[in-house]
Amino acid sequence: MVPVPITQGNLKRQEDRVEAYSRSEKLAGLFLLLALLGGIVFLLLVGQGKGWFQKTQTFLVRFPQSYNLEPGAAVKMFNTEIGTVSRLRIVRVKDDNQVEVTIRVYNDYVHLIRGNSVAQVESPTILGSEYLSISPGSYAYPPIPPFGTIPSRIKKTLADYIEEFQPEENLRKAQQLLTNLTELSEQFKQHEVKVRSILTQLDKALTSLASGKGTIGKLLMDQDLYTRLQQSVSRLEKILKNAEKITVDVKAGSGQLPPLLVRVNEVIDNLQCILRDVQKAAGQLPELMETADDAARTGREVIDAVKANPLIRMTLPKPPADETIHLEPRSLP
Amino acid sequence: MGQECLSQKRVILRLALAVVLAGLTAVLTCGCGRRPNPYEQQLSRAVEAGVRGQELFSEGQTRRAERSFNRSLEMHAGLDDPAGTAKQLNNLGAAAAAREDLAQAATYFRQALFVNEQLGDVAAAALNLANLAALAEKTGDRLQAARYLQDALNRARLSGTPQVLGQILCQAAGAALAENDLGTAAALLAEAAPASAHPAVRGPWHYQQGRLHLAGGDLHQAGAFFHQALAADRTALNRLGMGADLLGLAEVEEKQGNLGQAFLYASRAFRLYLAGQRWNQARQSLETLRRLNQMGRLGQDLPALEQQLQAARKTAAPCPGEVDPKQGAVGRRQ
Repeated sequence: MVPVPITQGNLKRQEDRVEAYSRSEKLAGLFLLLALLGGIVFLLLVGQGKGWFQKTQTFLVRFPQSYNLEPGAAVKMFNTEIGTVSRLRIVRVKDDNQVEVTIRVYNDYVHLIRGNSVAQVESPTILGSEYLSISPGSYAYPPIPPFGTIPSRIKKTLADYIEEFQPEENLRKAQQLLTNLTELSEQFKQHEVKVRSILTQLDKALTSLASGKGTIGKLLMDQDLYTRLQQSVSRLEKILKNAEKITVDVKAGSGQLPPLLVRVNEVIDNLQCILRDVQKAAGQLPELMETADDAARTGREVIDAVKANPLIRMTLPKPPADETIHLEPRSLP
Repeated sequence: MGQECLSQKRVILRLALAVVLAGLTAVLTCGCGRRPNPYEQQLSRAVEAGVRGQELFSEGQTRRAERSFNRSLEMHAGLDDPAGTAKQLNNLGAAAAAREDLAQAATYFRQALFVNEQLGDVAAAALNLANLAALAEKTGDRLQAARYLQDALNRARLSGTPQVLGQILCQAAGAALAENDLGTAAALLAEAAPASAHPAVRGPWHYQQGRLHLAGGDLHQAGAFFHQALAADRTALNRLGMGADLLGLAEVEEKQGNLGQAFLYASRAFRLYLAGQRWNQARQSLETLRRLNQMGRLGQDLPALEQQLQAARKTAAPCPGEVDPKQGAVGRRQ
């Protein structure tokens, strides 16, 4: 080995050789970096989809049993997943063992869980597992705070439905109904002849009505009725003409009225005399009113002065204020 | 020594008595000899007339109330007191509305609004607008009513008067409930809650809470709120409010299936309206009573109640010579 002389140029070349990476090394590093970044992005995307990073709030629901509900089961509202069941445990509430279900609801839906929301375990129709369904609460009720208990409804089992249905009782009722129907049809058979005869008579009556027979038939179909009605109208016209004549006679008889009018005039004269007296008295009325007004004013001033006295003012109740009336719609007629 | 001490005590007691008597005499003399202030006296007369009008209005004596308001208005106008004038114009509007003369009532409210706007009295103007909204709601013009109410709410919020804001918020909550918008009604009532302790707000606030819970199906809570509203309205002597509260209670009892109790509440409301001479409301209560009687087969004597209504109407009808309140002071002023 021939020792390389230590010069400034040689030192620079040696440093470059030590620090620089080869092309393949750089590519491998870049690939690793990209894979790492890709992995992180993938994880973020999956987490976003699964709702790992979503903020949740915890609520409690209590049931008499678990209804096969398991941790991880979905919590739904309007058949839309809004959270998951995180824990199930048996707790004792007032001498009664109950299953306490802890659920986590996504923050976006927390405002829908209110005082009148109801939780219920639902079973899938064919496939799948049990899930917890919560009904949305109305805004008239306050929201349930975190770790608060949502009211629950007991799920009915098949045995409950069967018990409710009471098949024996219903069968007995159905039998009774059939027996009643049979009896009714037999009774109807007995009266069938009578019904037929009634229908025949009704048919005959309608036929005679249409052909103008009988009182109603004549009324409906008889042309004579129309003629008689016309005659009646012409008679009514004659009566009205007579009434006009009578009115003319009454006018003629009114000549006897003047003596009556003279008496009425006398009465009116008397009335005028009375009115003159009243007018005379009325002339004194303003003076009287003025005196009364003065007296009332003096009285008021005295009362005001008495009210102004500190001793009386202290004991007087506070007068009500003159306020602007607010017209409440419930007070409107 | 003992006798000397006793005589000294007597002297001190007599002196104290003399001082007290002299003080009383001075106080009585000063109090009675107050300097006359004609303007203040006249103003107090105008206020008294207005207060009397409000009392009569509360008793359901609308025509007599209108005469008092008119007299007060004339006095306030004569004293160049625009605030009092606006108040009496508004109150005349309320009386006209009670007489079912809604056009005249709207004119009065607008005049009061104009004066209050000139004065810059935001709270009073808000109340005038709320009254106009109530009239528009009554005539079925919901759009106009909503506009007036929104304007009234904005001004009430600006005024910083909790009582006025509470009153208008309760009215707005009632309007929201009429639209079946329970969420908005709940929010408005929550905003009005701080003012609910005020006597003028307590009754309406509890009443609207009752209606809100009734609409939400919580009958127990609704009943509790209507009872509280009834107690508050009784304290404030708001007879018409009491009638509405009783009808609310009747509705709660009806929904609970207690038709007998519902009938009892509705009949109490009917008598209140009858005493307050509110014929339309009395007739509506009678309809409710008729329905409850039929539904529950209660066998109550309804024709007797109908006769009571007719007799009360005849008694309250104005005499042929009576002056129409419409032609009162304001009518002449216009």
